[in-house]
Amino acid sequence: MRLRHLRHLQHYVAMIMVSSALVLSAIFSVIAYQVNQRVAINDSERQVEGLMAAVKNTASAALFSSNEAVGMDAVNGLLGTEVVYSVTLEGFGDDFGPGLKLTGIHKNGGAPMKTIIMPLESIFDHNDILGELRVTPNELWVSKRTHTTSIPSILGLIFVIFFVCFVSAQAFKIRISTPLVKVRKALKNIRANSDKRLRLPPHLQLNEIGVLVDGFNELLDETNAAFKVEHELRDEMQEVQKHLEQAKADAEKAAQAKSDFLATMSHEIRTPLSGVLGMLAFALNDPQVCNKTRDQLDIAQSNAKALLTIINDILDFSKMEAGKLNIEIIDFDLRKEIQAAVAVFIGMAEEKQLYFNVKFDDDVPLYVKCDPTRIRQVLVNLIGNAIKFTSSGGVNVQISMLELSRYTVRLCFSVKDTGIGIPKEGIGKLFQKFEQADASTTRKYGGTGLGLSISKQLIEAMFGFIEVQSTPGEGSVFYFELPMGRASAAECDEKLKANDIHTHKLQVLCAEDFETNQEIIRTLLEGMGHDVEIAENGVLALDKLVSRHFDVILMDGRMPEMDGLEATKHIRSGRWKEQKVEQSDINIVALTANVTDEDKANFLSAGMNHFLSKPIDEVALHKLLAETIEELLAKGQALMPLVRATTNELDSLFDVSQGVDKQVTEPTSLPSELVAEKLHSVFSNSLPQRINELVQAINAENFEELGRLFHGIRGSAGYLEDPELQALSEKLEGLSDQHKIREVRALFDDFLVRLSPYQTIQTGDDHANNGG
Amino acid sequence: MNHIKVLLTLILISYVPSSVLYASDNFGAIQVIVNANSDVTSMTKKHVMAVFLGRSRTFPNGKPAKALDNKMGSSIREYFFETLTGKSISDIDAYWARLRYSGRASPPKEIDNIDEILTEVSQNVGVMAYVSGQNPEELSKQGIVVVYTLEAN
Repeated sequence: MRLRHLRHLQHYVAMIMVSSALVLSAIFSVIAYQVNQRVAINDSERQVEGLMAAVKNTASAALFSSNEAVGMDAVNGLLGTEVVYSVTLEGFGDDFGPGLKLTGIHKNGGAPMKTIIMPLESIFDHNDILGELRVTPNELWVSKRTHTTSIPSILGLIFVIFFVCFVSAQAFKIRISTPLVKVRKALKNIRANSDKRLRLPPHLQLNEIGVLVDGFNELLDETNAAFKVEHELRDEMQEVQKHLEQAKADAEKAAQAKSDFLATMSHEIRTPLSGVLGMLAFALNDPQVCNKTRDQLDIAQSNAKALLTIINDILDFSKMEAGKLNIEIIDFDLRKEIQAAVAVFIGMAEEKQLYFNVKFDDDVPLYVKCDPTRIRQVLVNLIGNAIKFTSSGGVNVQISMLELSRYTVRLCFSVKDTGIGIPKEGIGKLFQKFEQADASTTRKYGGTGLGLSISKQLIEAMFGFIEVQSTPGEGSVFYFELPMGRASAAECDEKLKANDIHTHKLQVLCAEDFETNQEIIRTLLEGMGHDVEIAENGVLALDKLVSRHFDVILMDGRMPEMDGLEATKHIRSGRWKEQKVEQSDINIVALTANVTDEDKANFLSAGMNHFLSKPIDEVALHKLLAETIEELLAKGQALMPLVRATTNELDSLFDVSQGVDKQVTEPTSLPSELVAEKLHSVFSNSLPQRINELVQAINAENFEELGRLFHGIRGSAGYLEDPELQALSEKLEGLSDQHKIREVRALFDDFLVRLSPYQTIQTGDDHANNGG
Repeated sequence: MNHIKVLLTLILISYVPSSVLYASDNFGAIQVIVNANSDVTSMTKKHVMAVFLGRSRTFPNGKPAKALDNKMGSSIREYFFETLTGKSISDIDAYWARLRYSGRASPPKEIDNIDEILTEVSQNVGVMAYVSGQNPEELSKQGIVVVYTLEAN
């Protein structure tokens, strides 16, 4: 209750008191007036009677002597007073005369009053009634008298009434309003959950206010009980909240761990795979490879590429899961891109004796704006499936136009096969993760079951949709529609030949800690005609950078001593070990297997200019370097022009740089065997130092260092095609990461035994007998 | 105001205390006499009173009557009126004072001498007076008749 409401209550009381006072005053005024009037009437009668008594003898004398003048004197004497209205003096008459009748009326007033009659006897004989005197009192006098006596008495009454009412109101205020206000104040001071209760003075405890206060106190008790419950609930809620937050943190941690794991995995898997692909490419470029070997190499290459595809699928999928999938929009030649994508299937179809046609409708635009890589990915997936599940007949790919406007075009891509088809109940599951039409499919045809799920998500990310129609036993049609932008021919012309050497020679600094990767990069770059300097880590790279001129730096992200990010920051700051870094604006290309967008952003924000993912795409590297050359020339930097080098020249360049005996290889061939051998020797050469480092790390229980070392050896073992060593290294790496020093020590001897062949080879030239 | 003065005066007069009664001289019978030619032989006490107090101006036979009084303050007058009315002489005087006050009425003419009274009565018809101790025969010789005799109480 608000205080002002209490004030209202007092107003009510005041109003009631005032109205009562008014009504009472009115009633009492009327009564008082009437009483006063009665008194005045009595007064008038008494006065009149007194006056009549006073003139009685005169009147009697007048009647006795029949003397009119004396009678008139008496009459006028009576009329001379205000209290008399009319006077009649009448003699009855007898033997001595006819009697006298005199009347007089007062000039003011009225006479609805009782007439007072006084018999007049003879003065000399009381038994002789001569006549009578009749006098009527004056109403005017009565009313005047009433007024004059009433006003003070009524005023007094009103005063008394109002005084009583005021006293009553005050009593009400003191007895009711004020206690209520006090109760309200006391209530205000009582907080929930406090033990305070309202207390009242004894005189109020037994009346209605006491009851009210008792009610409040009960309410307070209930409120406190409720408050307690609520408090407990809140505590519980907080507990639950804490658990939830913990769970959320755990989940985020797990997601982070998963994402880290994937990044690591991509690195771990792609690094050896890049080695495989690189080496296969070199081997296939060698004209000396005989046909049978070439076929085997081809198969190896296609398998490796398939593996890369699967890995990329899984990576794409996890990126989609994390919402990190990026769609890039570029201009491209639709026919060229799709023909290049499907080319690989021509051979596959031929092998299975299937027809394979790709048909573009005539109205399909030549150039469009979309993400060619993703379209390719989806098409490859769909066509791959089509061929996989078709044993007779063939596959038709058709690209047709649905809508065309000035800036956009909507295309439909369909892949139709004559394969086993998909049962109706399987279609629903088709685009779900890890689902194939049925489990037997997985057994018979293999596959991760991710392809279609990824395709669907990719198409939807590009604002299209994908659908399938199928009749079991007759075949399936997968088709997807995509909106695209339209592009012109000029924007799509740029096509690079990866194998061409560049127009100018660049001085390239490459910071990369793993020797295998060093070899591949060196081979690639030198093949393009550039000079390469390798640094093992960021510190060495900086040392080299301040000592001489470079045009571009290829920087691995993850290196011992100093990683790529930190090195980049030092370069951009312009100072290194008290020396000035002249080329603080040098082009830096990040080179890493960490391929999440987050990583990309990290690299670029650290000051790196470009980004190349491992395994290194030759075409991308070529393009990037060509752009760098153009950029430097545009800046006016002098670069040494390159004549188109022959394979021989490249070979010799390679040989010289690797320091391998020229006599062992043919000068016109790309020495793939030599590369392998060289890898071998590089590994062997570094082995003593590695082992030394490993022993030190084990003794120091430096798990980080141990992990890194085992990791490196594992990668090398991949290149060296030594799966047992690879497996063992992996195991040891895992144990190191888990800080299990005892298990590491236990396995380390096995590990050394496994390494012994390489030590033998290394020392084989001089100490052939020491092997084993 | 004038009325009130009148009234006050009237009231004052009404309350004049009866003056000390005169010692009742032994007058014996008082004789009310009239002229023999008035054709009146006797009168009632009431009629006598009416004529002497100004109430009546005629005899019972209807002929005009005129009262003569003894001198104011005389014993006979006091005795006569007190005996006649049973009121004190001051009451009688107050009565006449009231009538006189209004100015139009006057009390009977006062004569100081008994002989003169007798003369008046014997010479004028209608005159009426009172005497004491007269021989009625003597009176009738003078043409005067006694019409009422007021005995002492």
